[in-house]
Amino acid sequence: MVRIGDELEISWTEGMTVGDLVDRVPGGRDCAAVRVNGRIVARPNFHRTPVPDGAQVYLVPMIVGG
Amino acid sequence: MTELQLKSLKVHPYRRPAIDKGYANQSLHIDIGTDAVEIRPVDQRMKDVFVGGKGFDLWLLWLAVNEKTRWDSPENGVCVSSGPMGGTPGYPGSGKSIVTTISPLTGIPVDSNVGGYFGPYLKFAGFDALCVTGDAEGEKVVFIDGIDEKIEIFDAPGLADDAYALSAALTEHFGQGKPVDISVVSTGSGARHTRWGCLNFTWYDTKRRRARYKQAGRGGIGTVFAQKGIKALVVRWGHVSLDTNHPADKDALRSVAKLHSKEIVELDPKQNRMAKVGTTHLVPIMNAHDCLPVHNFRYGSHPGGNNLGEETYEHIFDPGFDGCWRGCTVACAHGVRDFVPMTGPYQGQRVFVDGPEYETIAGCGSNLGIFDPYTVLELNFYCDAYGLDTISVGTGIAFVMECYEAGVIDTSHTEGLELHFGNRLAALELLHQMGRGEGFGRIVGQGIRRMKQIFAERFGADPAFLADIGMESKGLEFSEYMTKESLAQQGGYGLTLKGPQHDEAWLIFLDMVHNFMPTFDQKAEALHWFPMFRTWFSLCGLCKLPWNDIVPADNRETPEPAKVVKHVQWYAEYFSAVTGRQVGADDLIVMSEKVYNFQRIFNLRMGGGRRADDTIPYRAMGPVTEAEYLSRQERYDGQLVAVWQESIEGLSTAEKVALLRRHREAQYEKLKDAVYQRRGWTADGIPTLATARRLGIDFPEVVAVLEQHGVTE
Repeated sequence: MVRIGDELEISWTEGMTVGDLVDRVPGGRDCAAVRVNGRIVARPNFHRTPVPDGAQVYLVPMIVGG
Repeated sequence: MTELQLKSLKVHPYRRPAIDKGYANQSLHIDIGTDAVEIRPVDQRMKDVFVGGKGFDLWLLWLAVNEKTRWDSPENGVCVSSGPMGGTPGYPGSGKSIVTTISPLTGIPVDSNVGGYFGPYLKFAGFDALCVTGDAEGEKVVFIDGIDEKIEIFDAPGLADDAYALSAALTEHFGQGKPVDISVVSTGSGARHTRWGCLNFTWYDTKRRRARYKQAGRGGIGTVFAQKGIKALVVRWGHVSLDTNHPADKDALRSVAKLHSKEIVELDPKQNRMAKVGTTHLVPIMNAHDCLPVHNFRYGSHPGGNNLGEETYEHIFDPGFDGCWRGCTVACAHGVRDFVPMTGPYQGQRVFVDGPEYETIAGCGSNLGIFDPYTVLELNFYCDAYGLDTISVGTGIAFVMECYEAGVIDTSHTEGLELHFGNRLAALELLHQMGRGEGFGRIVGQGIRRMKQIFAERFGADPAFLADIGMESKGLEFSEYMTKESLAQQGGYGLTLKGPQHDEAWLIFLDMVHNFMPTFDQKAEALHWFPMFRTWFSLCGLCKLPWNDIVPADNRETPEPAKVVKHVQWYAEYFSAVTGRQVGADDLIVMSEKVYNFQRIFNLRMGGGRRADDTIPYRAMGPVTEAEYLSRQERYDGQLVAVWQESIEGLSTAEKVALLRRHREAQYEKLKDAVYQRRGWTADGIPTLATARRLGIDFPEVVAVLEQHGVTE
């Protein structure tokens, strides 16, 4: 199981990447980055970053800072 | 109390007015040459048109100078103001000061938004704004004592020459046992020897028992401060509560402050974690998106980039609550305890480093090919202590390093410094030279625009190459984002008032990553709305981070998620609650438009403010060298074919570089046209008379400036 934010949970699959995950989550495709167990993963790395079973993932909604 | 050699030259008693709805309703004017002190009223028109903060600063500066004023003219002013909401405890990001002057880099007004307690304390002491003019003989300290209601000017020979020691000494001296009542503004020796001087604004960190500081970095304001002989400005104030601003509707203020504060506490740990890592989270994100400047903006990523990110600095930062104003829950002003520099006057001593933030890391780290987090800390520490802007220092040394590696300059010019990218000790030595006013550092500290001239005239360098790689516009060095793949961010840097600083428009992700503005009209609209809303924070004494660096959970479901409209509405409520002036979200944009257009006309008055002044170097638009092109060949080849329908079969790399350049430069000019039109400006980038009239800034002196430049409609 992977927990997205505080409420949503989705089932974990072997080899799941951040890219697979954000495709399945509302708003995931709008994200420039997510946090997986606290670590920043930026969009260009989504499809090469595995998501471990039991991970806590937060979507970092939009990087408009500076 | 520390014994300091301070000789009182003048004491000016005054009656402190009651603060009313966020305003003291008076400004303070000091001639540092004659010690004359004058208090002037702030009238309703000034509040209606200029609001406060940067608006007040610009108006006072406009009145102080004339069209011939240079940065080092006595009549040039250093103006400081917070704003009507400045000093509100509990609403995140409400302690900012805004500083303006005529810049030694650009010759036009520059503004800088900075944390620390000075601006709020100045207002509570009785003054919405301070304007210091004149030139002192020797060095002077100005003490504004809001508790004992007096302004005192001291002759101050023999004080510490660096801001680190000076801030601590003055805080202790004037604090009278309560250092938290003191805020000091000062610079350092580097400000005297370069055009990159910054100002350090302090607050007292009660947990760590030391004066901390944030920097008004951009545009050489510290250089003007030092040239005037201002050693320091010191303000003293005591208790602060929600009542201190005497808001029009305290209940409404408390309610909206609580909403925003609570949301940040809840969401920041799940988003950018700024309360833990400041802005260092941006480093790995920029690096992954090819936006982190590397080797003088040639490249946008580097395998070593992540060494400089949050995963490193979170473990180096001294843990604790680090707000640069009281009750700010963003609390991003982190620092490093017990750092031991390996060079310079503090070599081998334990010091506290305030920072680093993203800009310093990118400028003094990756852009110099330095990926050691401790060297970045040392550069950060000495820039602050010497009173130097980390962004201009970083971008400036990066330019020098590229010139060195390209053979434009060699050790005969650098007095023996081998300025390869990544040479940490050479970068530090160059910085110390700027602090001491010695060697090649004296030339470098003149800024990129003047270095280009010197390198061409004295060293025989190719001016065209220097123009392409020297990352400055209007004379100001670029801040630290790679803009080659974002036309909107090129405009966000080029189509600015003061020069390429991202605080006006940070559109790189909205444009490049999210593709929110694919058309020219959409880009132009963004380059209208975002600069206006960002300007508004500097009118009110606010930090913009709480607006869009912590985003509501349901933001993506709103019609315009990029604007974070829920927060915009909260800001309208906040303004109304403090000032009693009932406004909606759209009114905030109009407030800014008045000041924004006024500043553009001010630029015009000082000899800038036209289309040609919005030029940016080609390095900001695309690959200058074949090596840069080849490093991203697939991208550039693909664009030439798919976007521009070019046939590139058989073309050499040099020919493709030239072809791409032709398209990208044309695109930037087209963007200028669209933005000028949206802003109500002429094709030459000047606000029309109709725009000035619509905004109510058509004062006779403003109209006269427009008419002198041929704008009569």
